[in-house]
Formats: sequence, C-alpha cells, structure tokens
Amino acid sequence: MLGPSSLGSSIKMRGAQREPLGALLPQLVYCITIWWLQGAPNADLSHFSVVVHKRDTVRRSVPFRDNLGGQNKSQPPYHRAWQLPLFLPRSTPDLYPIRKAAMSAESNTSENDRKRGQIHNVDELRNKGIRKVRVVGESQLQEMAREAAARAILELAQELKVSEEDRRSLVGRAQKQILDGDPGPLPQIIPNPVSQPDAQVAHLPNEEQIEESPATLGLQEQEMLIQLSKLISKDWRSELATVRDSHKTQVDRLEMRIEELTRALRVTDQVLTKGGESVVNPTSKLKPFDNKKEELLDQLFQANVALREISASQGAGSLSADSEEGRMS
Amino acid sequence: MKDNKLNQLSNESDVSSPKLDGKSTAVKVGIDLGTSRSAITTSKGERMVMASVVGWPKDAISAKVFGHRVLVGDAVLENRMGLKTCFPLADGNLAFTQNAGDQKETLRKAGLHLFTALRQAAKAAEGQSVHAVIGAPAEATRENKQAIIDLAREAGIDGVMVVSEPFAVAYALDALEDAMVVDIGAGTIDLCRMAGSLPNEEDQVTIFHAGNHVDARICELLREQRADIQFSPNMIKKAKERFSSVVDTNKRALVTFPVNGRPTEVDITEQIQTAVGELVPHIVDGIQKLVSTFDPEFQHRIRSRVIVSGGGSQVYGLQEALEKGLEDLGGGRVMIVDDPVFAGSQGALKLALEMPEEYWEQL
Repeated sequence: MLGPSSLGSSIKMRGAQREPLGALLPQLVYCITIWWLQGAPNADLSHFSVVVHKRDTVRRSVPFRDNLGGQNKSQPPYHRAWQLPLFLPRSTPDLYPIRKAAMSAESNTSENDRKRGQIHNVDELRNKGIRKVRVVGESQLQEMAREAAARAILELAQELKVSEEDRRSLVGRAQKQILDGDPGPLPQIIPNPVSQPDAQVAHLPNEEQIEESPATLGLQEQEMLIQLSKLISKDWRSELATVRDSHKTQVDRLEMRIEELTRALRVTDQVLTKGGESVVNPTSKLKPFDNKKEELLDQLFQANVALREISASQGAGSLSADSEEGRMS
Repeated sequence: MKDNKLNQLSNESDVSSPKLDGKSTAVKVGIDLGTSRSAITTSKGERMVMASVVGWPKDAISAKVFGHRVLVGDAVLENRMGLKTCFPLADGNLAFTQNAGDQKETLRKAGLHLFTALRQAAKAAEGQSVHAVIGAPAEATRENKQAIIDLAREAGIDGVMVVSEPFAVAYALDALEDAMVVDIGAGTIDLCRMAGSLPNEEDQVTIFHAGNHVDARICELLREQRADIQFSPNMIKKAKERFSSVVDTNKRALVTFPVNGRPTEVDITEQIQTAVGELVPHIVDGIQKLVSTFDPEFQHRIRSRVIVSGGGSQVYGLQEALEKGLEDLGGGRVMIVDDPVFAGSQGALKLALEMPEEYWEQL
C-alpha cells in the first residue's frame, strides 16, 4: 500500500505506462473508492493509502461495483469514471452543478491560484527527453476529482442503512463540501504511513515506457489526490465519528447505570452487614424509599411471626388440655 | 444483596439454605381473599379470580351429575340449584371464627376448600412449595388472621403471611408514603393511610357498609316500590355491577325480571343510584377520620392522593362524588386504580417476591 506522499513518486517513476495523467487520475480515484468500499469502515483513515495498478491489472483483477445490474462489469473502471454523469441515478441530487461550479471557478481563478502551478520551459522538457506533452488544466483535474469523489460518496451513501431523508442530507452535505471546495478543518493526514509501499508496485515502473515527465504535473496531481483523499476521508471520518459517538453514548449510559446499581448494592450490603444500622453513603443515589421498603418487609415478617407464635402457644395449650381430657377418659 | 446474605447464611449450620434449583424453588402467590370474589396472582404469571363460594351436591344424583364431591368458585353459582352453597367469608373475615357448632365446622371446611382451590390455581409442580401473602381486611381480628394462616397451611400452602388488603394495594402502586388507599369490596370498605411504615390499627379503618350492603339495599328498595317483581340477590348483584352509578346519566338501568313468571323489563336506575350513593358519605367519613388524626402538617398530602381500588371503584362517577365530598375537608384528589380486581393480589405477590427468602424459610 502506498501513502499519498509516496503516490506521486510512484507515478513519477514510470508506473503509469505512458498514460496521460488526465487518464490516470480517475483510475487512482477509483482505486481509492474501491479501497473504501472493500474495508474502509474499519480502517484507520489516518493511514489513508492507495494501491496503484497498471491499467491492465485493474481491468483483470480489481472488482468494482456498479448500479447497472452488472452490465458494465467488463468495463475498466476509468471508463466508469469518465462516463460518470450518465450513471447518476435519477433520484440522487444533481451533480452537474459541480461541473458548472468548477468551470466558473476556473474562469475566476486568481493570480495566486495560477502561481500554485509550476511553469516549465519546453526546451528543458525536450532536453529531458520528453517529446509529447499533454497539458491538463487544473480545473479539469479538479473537476474529475470532484466527480469521482461525488460518485464515491453517492455509491457509499446508497449502501448505508439509513433513511432516505438522512441519505439525502448526507449527500447534500457532501455536495456542498465538494462545491464549496473548502474542506474546513481536516483530519491530519500522515505523510509517511506505517504501511510500506507495495512491492509489486515498486517493481512495475519501466523507464523505457516513459513518454512524458510527470515531474511537474505529478506535483499538482499529488496535491489534488491529497485534497481528494482529505475530502473523502473527512466525510467518512465524520460518519464514522457519528456512529462511534452513538455507540459510545450507549455504552456510557450503560456504564453509568451499572455504576449506580453497584453503588446501591454496596450501600444495602453495608446496611445489612451492620445489623440494620443506617450507614448510608452520602454520595449514593438511592431512592429515599429503598431502605424503608426493607424495613416494611421486616416489620411485616415480624408481625406474622408474632401472630404465629400466639397461635402456636394457643394450640399447645389446647393440645395439653385435650391430652388431659384423654387421660381422664 | 439477598444472594450475599443467603451465602452468608448458608454457611451457618443452624440455618437451612434455600432451595434454589428450578424445580424446588417455591411458587410465590399473592391472594386477595374477598367476601365475594378471591383473586390470585402467581409468580408463574397466572392470574385468576373466582367466586368465594363452595358448594356440595345436594344428593347422590347431583353428585353424579357434577362428578365432584365439592365445587368451588363460579361453577357453584352456575349450578347452585343442585348444590348446597356456603360462603366461607362474611364481612371480610372467615365466617367460621364467628360461629359455633355444626355451622362452624361447615364454614371451616368451606374455607379449607377455598384455600385448596386457590393453591391449585397456583399450579405448583409436584413437590414444589407455595409461599403466599394473603390480603385480609384492614381491621381483621387477630383470630381471623390466625384462622387464615391455619387454614392456608392446612390447604398445603407452605409459607403464609397475612397483610392488610389496602396495604397490599399501596405496595402494588408504590404508594407507601403520603397516600390513602380505599379498597371497596363486597364485605368491607377498607381505608388505610400510608406514611412510610407498616400501617397499624390507627392508620386503618374498616367500613362494613360495602357492596353486599348495597345489594341488600337495592333489594329492599325494589321490594318497596315493585312488589310484583321476582328476583334473587345474585340478579341484583349482576345488575348493580353493570349499571352502578352515583351520577345522573342518560343511560338507564333496564333489567329484565320475571313478573308473575313473565319476563319484564324494569328500570331500576333510581334504586341503584340511591343505594350506591349511600356509600359515598361512609367513605368520606372514613377518609375524614384518617385525615383528621394524621399529622396536621401533612394532612393535605394524604388528602391529595386518595387511591380507590376494589370492585366498588368501578361505580360510575365515584371519583367526582368523592372529590366533591372531600371539598368540605379542604379538597382532595381521588384516583381510581387501573386494575381494581387484581391490584390487591398483585401487591401481595410483589410483597411475596420481595420478601427475603430466609424469612420464608423461617415461616
């Protein structure tokens, strides 16, 4: 498994097999989604990572889910990502505004934003042996990333066992986040995850297959992927946190109840062992009548014992009288 | 807590450890021993109410017809033409304690059969003991309580405790403090104020003007006003249970009685209302007696929590009538229990279940 930080280097290294990075990105996004679908709920998201596969490898071995009744299972996943708008269910919120918003954002890009990209001299690139360069705009990358993220969220939302209202709310929040582009306070992403890079992936790169230098766009891509991972992880972290919170609340409540009962038992034990002396722990939360009930039961028992004793003594008296009579006869 | 104590006790040689295995653990029962009807609730979840009446076949033919030497409960009322009937309780007490001679023995046997039937209703397994808490009238005499214990033990009930019936109701409702319970039965109306301790004689009042008295009063009024009507006390009792009311309503008590052998519909609304209405002043007097002798600082508390149970609590409009009667005492709040028939037996069962096991062992 590769962490986000090592991801870029893998791409740079020749794992992409002369793929244009624009085509590679949906594949990566899809891999992230698959990873989530296959085991994310129990995963530690701070170690968010992804396996980079060659296209052929992905096509053959990576299972993927769709909502099309298996019709497109033979399609490579990147096709699914490209054809994303066609697959959107009718009942789901409209995601086209994402694309529109992204485009409008591109036209209003500030100068600072432009400076974030790296400018490379074409000659320098040629000197490095790069003959073909495909320019992928930042907005295009953002758009693709957002579409993939939206798709992932939609698919995951469909699988959640929640009411339709909650699902809509969840999707709505996700959509808002994606549209706003402001992920807010994000969880810390560990740059160097504990998991070591996948050995297979490390051996995949082949220098001869490199057509372009991913050095410049790789950084952008890496940045985008990190943002994407943050986006997805944040959303699912919040969901996980919600689930954990609800469980924690229940557990806390149960523990509180057990504690109360234990305390009550301890107090009553004390009272019993000290011969009825009211040694009540002032910190206990016993109901005021708990001890009185025991007293009542004790009084009732004593009254019945007294009644029985009187009855027994009378019976003994009459028995002795009878026996006397018997002797007389 | 109890287990801890039991463990301690089981180490002592002079105290037998309770049998805790499933088969031998005692069945706990709560019994509301009533003059007209007796209710039983068991720890097995059984609930049953039966008429407190015992019948013997009149002759060999009826004995063959019924197939039993003794009948107990509602079957007696249904087949009373072929039976000699006997009500073992009178005015809430076992009747044999107030009689002598052959009649005493008959009443005693009837009481024994009633307890035997109640024990059978507990559905205890073979060899399984039965522990019972039995509700008695609030002002039951010591002799009567002793008689209840003796007869119950004779009937095979291993552990017996007697408790004041209104106290059992209060225990069922957890109204052990600042409350007053009014249990309106057939033989007695029992009032008991609850002040957080076991009620003593001062805390209880028994009124002998109860359901049976109402029946007798209705009969008297009917005879006065409609001499041509033929009826039995049981018919009047059924009519009262169906139509009893202390307020004017549009609902008329139309009952079919034979008039010269011909079924005739007769309106007895007025008679029922008059007879039942006579209960209210007695109950209010009883409440006043208990309130006035209570701590003046807390009188308002018990007045504002008067709980009415028993079959008589089902009289239509009783709640309002009692609250109106309490206005002279400064007002009060009256509540009717949800389950008047079983409230007493449920409270008795609750007592039986919560009573420490070692107490039962000692009994």
